[in-house]
Amino acid sequence: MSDSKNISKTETGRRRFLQQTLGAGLAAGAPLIVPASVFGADRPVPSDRLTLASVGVGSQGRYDLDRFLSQNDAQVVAVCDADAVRLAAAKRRVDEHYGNSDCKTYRDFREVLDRPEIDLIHTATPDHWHVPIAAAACAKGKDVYCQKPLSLTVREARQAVEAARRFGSVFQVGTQNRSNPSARYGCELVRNGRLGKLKTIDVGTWEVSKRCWLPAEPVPEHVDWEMWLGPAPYRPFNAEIHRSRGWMPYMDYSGGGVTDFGAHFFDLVQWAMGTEDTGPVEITPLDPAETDGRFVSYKYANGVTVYRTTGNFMRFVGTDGVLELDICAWASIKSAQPSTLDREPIGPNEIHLRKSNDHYANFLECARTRQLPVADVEKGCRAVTICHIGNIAEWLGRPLQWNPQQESFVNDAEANRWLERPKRAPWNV
Amino acid sequence: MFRFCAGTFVVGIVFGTTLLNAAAPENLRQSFETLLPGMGAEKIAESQSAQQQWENICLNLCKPGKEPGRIEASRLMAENLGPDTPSGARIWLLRQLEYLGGRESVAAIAAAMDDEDLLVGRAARRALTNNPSAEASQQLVAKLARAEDPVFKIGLLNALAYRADPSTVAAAAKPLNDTNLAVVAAAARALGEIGTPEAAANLKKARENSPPQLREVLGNASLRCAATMVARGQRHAAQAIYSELRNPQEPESVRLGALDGLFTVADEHPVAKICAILRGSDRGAAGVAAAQIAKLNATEVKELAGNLAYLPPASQVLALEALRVRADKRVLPDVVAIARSKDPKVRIAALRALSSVGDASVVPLLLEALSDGGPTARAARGSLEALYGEHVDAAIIAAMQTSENIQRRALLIEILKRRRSVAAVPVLLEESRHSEPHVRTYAMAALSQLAQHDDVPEMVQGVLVADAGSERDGAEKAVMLLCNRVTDRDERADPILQVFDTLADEDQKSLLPLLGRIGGKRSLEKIQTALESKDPDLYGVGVRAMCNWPDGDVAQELLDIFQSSQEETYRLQAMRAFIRVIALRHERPNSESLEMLREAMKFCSRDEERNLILSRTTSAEIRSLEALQFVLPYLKNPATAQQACRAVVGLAHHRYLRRPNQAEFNKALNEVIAVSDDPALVDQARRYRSDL
Repeated sequence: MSDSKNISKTETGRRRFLQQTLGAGLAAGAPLIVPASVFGADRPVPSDRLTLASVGVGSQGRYDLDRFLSQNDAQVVAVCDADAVRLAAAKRRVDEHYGNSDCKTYRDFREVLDRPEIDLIHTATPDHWHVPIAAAACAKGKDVYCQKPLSLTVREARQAVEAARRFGSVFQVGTQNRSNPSARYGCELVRNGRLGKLKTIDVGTWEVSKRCWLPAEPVPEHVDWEMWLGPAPYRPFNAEIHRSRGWMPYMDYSGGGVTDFGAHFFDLVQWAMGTEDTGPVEITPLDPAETDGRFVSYKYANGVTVYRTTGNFMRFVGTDGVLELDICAWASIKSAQPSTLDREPIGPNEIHLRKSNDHYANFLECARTRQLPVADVEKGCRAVTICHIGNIAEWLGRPLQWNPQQESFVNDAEANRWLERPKRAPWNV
Repeated sequence: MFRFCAGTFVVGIVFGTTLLNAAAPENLRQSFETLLPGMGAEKIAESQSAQQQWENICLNLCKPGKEPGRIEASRLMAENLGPDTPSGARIWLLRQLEYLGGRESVAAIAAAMDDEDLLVGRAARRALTNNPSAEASQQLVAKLARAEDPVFKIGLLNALAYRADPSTVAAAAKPLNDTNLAVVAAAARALGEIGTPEAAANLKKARENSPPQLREVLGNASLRCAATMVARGQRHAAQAIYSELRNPQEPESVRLGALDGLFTVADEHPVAKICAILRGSDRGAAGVAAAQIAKLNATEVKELAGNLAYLPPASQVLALEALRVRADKRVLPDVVAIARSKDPKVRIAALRALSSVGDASVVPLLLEALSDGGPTARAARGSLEALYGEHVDAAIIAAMQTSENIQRRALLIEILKRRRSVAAVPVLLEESRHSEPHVRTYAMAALSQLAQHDDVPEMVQGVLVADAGSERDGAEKAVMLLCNRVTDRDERADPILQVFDTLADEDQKSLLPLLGRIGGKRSLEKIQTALESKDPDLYGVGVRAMCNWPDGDVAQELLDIFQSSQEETYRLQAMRAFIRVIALRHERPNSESLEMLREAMKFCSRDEERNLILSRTTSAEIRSLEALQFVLPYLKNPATAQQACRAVVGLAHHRYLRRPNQAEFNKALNEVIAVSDDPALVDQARRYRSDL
């Protein structure tokens, strides 16, 4: 999929909202537009802003929420969470920011999606909810900012792409390194052959997710546990799972540290190699004790081998140089060989990757201009798929052949049964 | 049948055999019967061990060529899905059957769907959903025929959607007449996923008689059907569906989806059609048409660009945005022509498009637009930052050098920085000594990102001419950022020290704070020399330099200054720096750091410093139960209570610290909840308290 595609969209909810508000305002004799001076000279009046609702306002959700609150051309109008305490905290934050009490709260995301005047849905739920909510939002004509990793399974990731394309939604995945100048520059160096012929890439992540055997505990009054579980298989409440990111080690809700960090850094692998519309062809689980901490190898058709390894770095090794990014420091360049490598300009006739310096602003801009955002859902789909198929190879403990065009394992019906998981009724994508 | 007797089973890796042996068909029954009792054990540790071992065996069988073992394991599990097996074990077995079961297990799984235990029934439905055999489809269809509960029906229809088995069309179509709209929607979705002509025909019939609230659901399902047909090469059948869905009675989103589909299957030249729609008044359709620009070939794009001038402004904007991301430089003359449009939105869209279709020839146009201010200037600036091509940097550099407007000159430097214009470094070094502070500030900031280590000696001149205050501070940071790129800390200041001895005394003195920021042994020597000076002015600069130190290795030196200095100002500076560096990387044991904070607290006479100390207790070098105990007394003092609350919550944030010290943190968090005036902090404290 190329960047060069724009997105069609029906009459936006925002416009419908404005028409409705206009009518209501006239009837009530209320002022329609708050003067710009109230917000500062450079701040758009409310009618120019895109309206946004945040679904899932735990730790990551609140981080995103703050970033959206700081955008002048977006107005957060609603927050939604299965946890009433988190919900109240998020509402307070939004209301304090705007100096009013207008932010609406919801426990059920479907009620948020039913509000036609909401343009944008931001979702930062646990991973097992990402695609069901995001795809439903697309079907309701919303644009979507979905936290990474995009999905719980390979098939879900593709379903997210299909939903976005079908309904013409701008769909940004929260892989923020796409809006990180340092990461972009590193990828440009690799893409333009500054390391010579690329040989290997090491990607540090945390570990793969596993089954959960935590004991049952009483459900706190403030938690709607049925809604929290949603499409995941039922299991009794446990506070450890429910706490922020506590669900991440467990495979019913997440691919673990592999999809958490891998969604970022396998995406950079794809960006750096220019393989964003494809993926590896062979995945092999490794014994880390015998491979210097490497867990999985991914062979690409271009001859490059990518390793999932331990450590907070990403290392590109070519015939003429080595480039290491610090993945815990906003993908800054940690070291380069030769040492002058990271000051080399990218020439006018070389490959320049798409520029965005603010992931949230890029999403809002694309929602206005109907262009594919910098971390479009297709890219998020390809990146998380790499994580998922590596996890499947690890779970099954054997090498797998992958067909990135058909997005299935080659001649391996057994492994293909892991590409999707049935959901608890009534949920689907 | 094996009877369960919790506690009597044997835990351990399948009686000492290897996983491969345990998974061999001849050993499977023995392995399974050994592990099955444990899988249903009430104690989690016991069930976990047995369940994990059995899953490992199953995963090992999930492999081409292991069919006999897979079938045997599947049969063994199927035989034990009855009520004699505890629910927990049955659910676990069904989870394995979800990826391992074949036709041999279908009947047993189907029976389990009717289990009184709802969780077993749900697990069985999931296992059947992912079972690849035709028998699984038949069982799901049979269940659907008898189902009455709407949620159960939806679950079964979702299963049919998941499987997309063409043999289930008739079964999936029947609920289209259901009185429950959610069931109808699930049926439509299943038919859409199946995507055969028969499924499409059923959906078409349902659309004809559907209530308004279902038209969108049914239309979307039909679109899904058509997309599946396109993927299968059935373009004509898909085209017929898309054409039907263009009917004005269909919801707008469906009609637009159908228009997009028609573009996908069309054989004819699309540009004329795109332009016709773009000229029309249907804005939704115009959006769909503009989206097609991405799919045009190079000749078609050029042809479309030639039509730009004849489109209404709103469509011009759409097309220009599409051309921008398409980045085909052949359309440059068409975009330049429209960039002077009187319509501000069109002008902005054209200026933005120049970022990707432009070259050095558009730099003057973009520079001119910078003067417009507002969104037009922002668009021009964005394009100047992103534009690439031969001579673009040179054109911007020349414009910067000739600009007499200070603000504009600084803006162009900022643009060069964002362009990563390394070619601008020689000019920026000159600008770092410009007569205007504003220009110098921007130049130094740009150099911090673009210059090489070799440029540091020249940048030192920029530091020396910088005015004291924020400009000097920024200049020093710019040099520091460059120096910090050297791995060996003791070599970082070398380029500055190279020129240091050649400078006049006053300039040497001016550079001491910069040496302090960078650190290293040789910098320390220079600073210590200043601290030994009898010249009070030089001594003061030495104190300031030491207070800038980047790590915790000079804690003792700072304490010495605090204790020996006669000037209260220097004592205070040294104390604050001491508090700051204790929590930074250092070469002493972490346990000493908390002791040093305790010492510092004894010396503090003001609440500002006390609060500063409390704020440092959460850093990785201090964080411990002892740190919590150190903080607690300060919750009682109103002047330090709020910072102490933050420190307690900051420490409690770390599970590895709070959980092993439940009693201490419970008490501390209770105090925070009672004392803190920050509702968000109280929320956080409550959450941590509930997770002890």
